[in-house]
Amino acid sequence: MKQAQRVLSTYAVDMFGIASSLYELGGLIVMHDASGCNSTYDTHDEPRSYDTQSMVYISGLNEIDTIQGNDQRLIDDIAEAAEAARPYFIAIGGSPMPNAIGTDFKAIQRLVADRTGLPTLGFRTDGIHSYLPGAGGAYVWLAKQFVKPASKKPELPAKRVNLLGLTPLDFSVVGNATTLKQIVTDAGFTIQSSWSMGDTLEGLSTAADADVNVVVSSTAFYLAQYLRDTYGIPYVVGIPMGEKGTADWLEALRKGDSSYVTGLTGDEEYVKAQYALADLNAWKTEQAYDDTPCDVLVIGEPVYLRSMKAFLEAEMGVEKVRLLCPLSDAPQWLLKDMEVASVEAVIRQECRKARRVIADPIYARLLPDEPDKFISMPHEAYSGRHYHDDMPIFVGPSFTAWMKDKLK
Amino acid sequence: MIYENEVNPPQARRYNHVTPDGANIAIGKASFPKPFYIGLQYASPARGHWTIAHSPMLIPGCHEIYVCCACCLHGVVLSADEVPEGAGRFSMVTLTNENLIKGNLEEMMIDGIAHIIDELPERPKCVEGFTSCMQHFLHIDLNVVYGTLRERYPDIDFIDGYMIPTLQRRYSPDVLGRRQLMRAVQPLPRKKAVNYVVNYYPVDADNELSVMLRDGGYDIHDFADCQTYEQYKAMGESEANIYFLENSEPAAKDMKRRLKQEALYLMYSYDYAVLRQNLQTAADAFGLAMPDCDAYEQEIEAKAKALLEKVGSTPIAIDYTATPRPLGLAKFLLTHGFHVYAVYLDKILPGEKEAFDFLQKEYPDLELRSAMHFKRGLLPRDDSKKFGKVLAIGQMAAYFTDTKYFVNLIENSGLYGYVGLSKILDWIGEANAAENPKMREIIQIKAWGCHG
Repeated sequence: MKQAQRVLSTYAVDMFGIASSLYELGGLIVMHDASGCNSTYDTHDEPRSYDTQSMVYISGLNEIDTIQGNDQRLIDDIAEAAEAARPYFIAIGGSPMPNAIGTDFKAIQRLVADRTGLPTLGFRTDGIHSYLPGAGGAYVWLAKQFVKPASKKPELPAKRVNLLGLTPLDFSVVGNATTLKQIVTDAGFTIQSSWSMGDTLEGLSTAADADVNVVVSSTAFYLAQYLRDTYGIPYVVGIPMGEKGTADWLEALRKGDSSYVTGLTGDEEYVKAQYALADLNAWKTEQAYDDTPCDVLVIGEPVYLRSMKAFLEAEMGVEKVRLLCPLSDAPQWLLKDMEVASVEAVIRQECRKARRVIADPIYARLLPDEPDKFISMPHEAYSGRHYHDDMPIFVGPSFTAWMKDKLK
Repeated sequence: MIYENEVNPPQARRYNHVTPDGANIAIGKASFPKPFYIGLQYASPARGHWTIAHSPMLIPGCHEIYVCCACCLHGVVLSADEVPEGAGRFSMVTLTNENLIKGNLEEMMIDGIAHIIDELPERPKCVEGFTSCMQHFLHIDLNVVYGTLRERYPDIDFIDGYMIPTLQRRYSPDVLGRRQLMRAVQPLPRKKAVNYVVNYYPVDADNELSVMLRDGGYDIHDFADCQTYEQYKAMGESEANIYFLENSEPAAKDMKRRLKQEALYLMYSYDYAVLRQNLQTAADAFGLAMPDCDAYEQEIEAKAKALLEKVGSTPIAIDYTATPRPLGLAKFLLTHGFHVYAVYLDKILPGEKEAFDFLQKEYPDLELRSAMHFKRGLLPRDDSKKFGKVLAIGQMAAYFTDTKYFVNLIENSGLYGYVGLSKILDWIGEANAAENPKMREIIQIKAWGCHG
């Protein structure tokens, strides 16, 4: 039974991706759902919720409104909140029930925008897909709405950098985002904008003036493609991991080298995030690897996986690295040459074949008799805040020493 | 290490322009039972009370299997994971759009639950399965699901659990959840015993009701204190179910229907007359001797007086997660000279009507504050700075007033009756005397103290 999971968890869903990517930007974010999703997001997936005020809400969908298809209460409630709190924009995503009854989020978007006069996103998410297309779609919408025309053309070697796809879901709040920015500025670059930790809507609106975009998680691959098509800005995919990895990454930034860790040309066709949501069955088992053993298996999100592979091979001397992505709705361009699998038995089997496994600690439950095989790399989008204490700074040169110690 | 600049980025927008209108109201102007219009809903990060993922763990040996969409699963699996050993008692089957379109809801649920049971290292004695709004909206036939599972696994008790917040025509998720927790209890030959149902904390053994019952020769089966599955099943031998909480009433009535056990409502209260009446009701029902209520009341009066000398005019805020009777507690404290200035709640339970009417008349300035109104997350949490010191009763009150002087009370934490009230006063005294340095950690953990 492919969808039965005895010990594994689930990834943060599309609505949470929207909320996380827009959290610091002063907008009103609504999850159209009865109850629970907001509490889940605030409690487990949003480490900023305790300290940072933000307008992330749930609509309180009820049975009669669902049956009658009544969206008026939702629109009225949004208008009331918008009048009182004066958000800069409004974003509305849906859970399984609104999706199942065919809620017209585009119509709600138009009605809310007309009523409030605010830029509004109505995004037909379903609470079933992962945070990747949710955040991906939100980023592209944000760029279309707020990024101003460029005042200059991109130049190489690059000096101005947009950081794309930086949210706590992939980087937590343990210093990775701070370190990433430090590396960029220490190398002489200027951070044009940061999507979307530590920046404002105004800062993001200047993104068209950058020389290069760097995609640090696949939440922003769609955005990078949109900015390439609209403003001609090249993109680099990857996270600077380790000493050599950081140097190589900075060099790729200077050159605007899209092939870095991906082998992409940078001219790949733009595929909308919404298309990922159209996939009805995320439970795929596309076996990519044979039954021979490997040195290290890495499990996670595609940009992280590719960066880790480059780091392990180039700096740790690991010869046979395999990548397993449980997120089948990640941008398809990034899923090449890795196994896409969500089924518990398949992932367990891949873990068995590996000498070491680098993954969120929940995956270690697949092989309880082999705890030493696993190197714990907590992923906020998977295990939430539960393992904050174990989260390393995986960005930057210091990661080399950390990983050497773990691979002993 | 958590980076302060990442959890509290300095450039993030502030909302000083938001007024408290609609989120706060003086009780003198408030309506019963809904003092606020709740449109868009805010969820506080202070989440210490129990959730649907935790309560089934109070049935020893029960394995939870949620059959839901990913958004619902993500919350419950991570909440269960925060309980010691919780992950080992939790599994799930993910509902996809493919299932919704194909309509194979029963088949995927049967196959999924069976797959998990077959893979568990030990055979569970009880399995509580959970369905979500989607399956019920599409009319899943649970008789087929559980009928098949019971036939295939006759040695396992199956409970049909529900996580259906959209579909609340009769019961809230909490009420329905409490009722279902008792569904695996079956009739047994009668013994001289009573049950306490359905609390999430074991009832404090010192309280006068428990003493009366034990002195009268009754065994007490406390749902929240069952250590083995056999103890849980032994609740079927009791004469009656005693419940303290409105939300447990459908459970008690369901057991009356199924097991022919009497249902006795001895409501939580801080009102001497109600406490006395509760004991009289129990004495009449079970032929017990009444305790010396005067002595209890005198002791509490003396304790309250001594406590007031220490607490003085310190502002006190109470929230609804601390006690199902936040207004009743406010009334007790106000009438004993304490300075209660705010009560956080979103609705007022029927058992609070008398306290509401009293406070509306006698203390009309007492402020009711919604915990889930959309403005709550935008209003400043600075009472403790404004007032110098705030004493909070409950985790939400501690968060919203930002004080470390707080009473870590959740749904009365098992404290009941005169003795319970007396102990609450002790706890208030302890909270007033020293800050709790772990406040921030404690209040963010769901079901803090849950060791089911």
